[in-house]
Amino acid sequence: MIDCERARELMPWYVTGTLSAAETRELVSHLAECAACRDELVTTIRLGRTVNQAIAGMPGAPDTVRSRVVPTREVPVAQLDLGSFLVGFSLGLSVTGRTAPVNGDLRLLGRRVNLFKTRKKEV
Amino acid sequence: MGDDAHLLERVGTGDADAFTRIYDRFADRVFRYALTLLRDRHLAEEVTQETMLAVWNGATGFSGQSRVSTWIFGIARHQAHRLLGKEVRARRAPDEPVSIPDPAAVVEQEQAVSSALATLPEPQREVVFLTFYAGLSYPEIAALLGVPEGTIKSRMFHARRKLAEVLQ
Repeated sequence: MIDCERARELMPWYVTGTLSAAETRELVSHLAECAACRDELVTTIRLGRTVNQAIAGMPGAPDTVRSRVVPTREVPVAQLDLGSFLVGFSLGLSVTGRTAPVNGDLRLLGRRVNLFKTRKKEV
Repeated sequence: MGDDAHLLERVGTGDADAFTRIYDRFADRVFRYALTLLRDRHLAEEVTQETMLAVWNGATGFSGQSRVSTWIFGIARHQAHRLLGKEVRARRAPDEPVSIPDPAAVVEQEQAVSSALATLPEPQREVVFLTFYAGLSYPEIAALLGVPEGTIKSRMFHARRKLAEVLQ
């Protein structure tokens, strides 16, 4: 069985549920026999919860970062259709705010199959 | 494959919606991690931006050997240290206390822990963050930081002792 020092070493990760199954078994066996370590576990649980809440209360990423990083949705700006509705080819140009992807679609019996899409990241 | 890994795979194909979801899941955590490491809002903002751009541009580089969260925190850590190096060279010492929200909105104990957390040496603060907030195991933290597992346990031991005093 593990000793108190080893048990206390593992406790923070027992509290967060990230110990291996073998380590969890060892620790639980020790806790069943050791009242002092059970008290220590209660302290560690309180500490873990309070630290988690304190960090979660810190500010999150500002909206300015989101607006600089997250791509905007594609807006179609031009489309060239060749052939008929049943059989044909479409070439489309869209913009997303930072990129201008070009789509090539094949139309067959009313269904549209994408053949290619350029992807250029300019962020 | 987990949800995050699946989302990241879609990001690798240029799926903007998948990236938006990854951003929403991780940006705040990355920002708080950077704030914990650097204690400077402006630098934390820059780290978050560079990290999320690296995710967008480099999603195909995720090998699946680790959890997505560990991979993203690894990028953030690299960006934080890169920026910190630039700041040191520019002779600007970023040492503001970690910001906490409106004191009236948080309980007294959380404030005390926040203050105590800010006084810990950076290596201990980082281990506390990655354990109790990011939910990483100690082998994952050791791999992320590139140090032996024993070092992680030792940093946690010292950090816990200081933080527990606050809770008494």
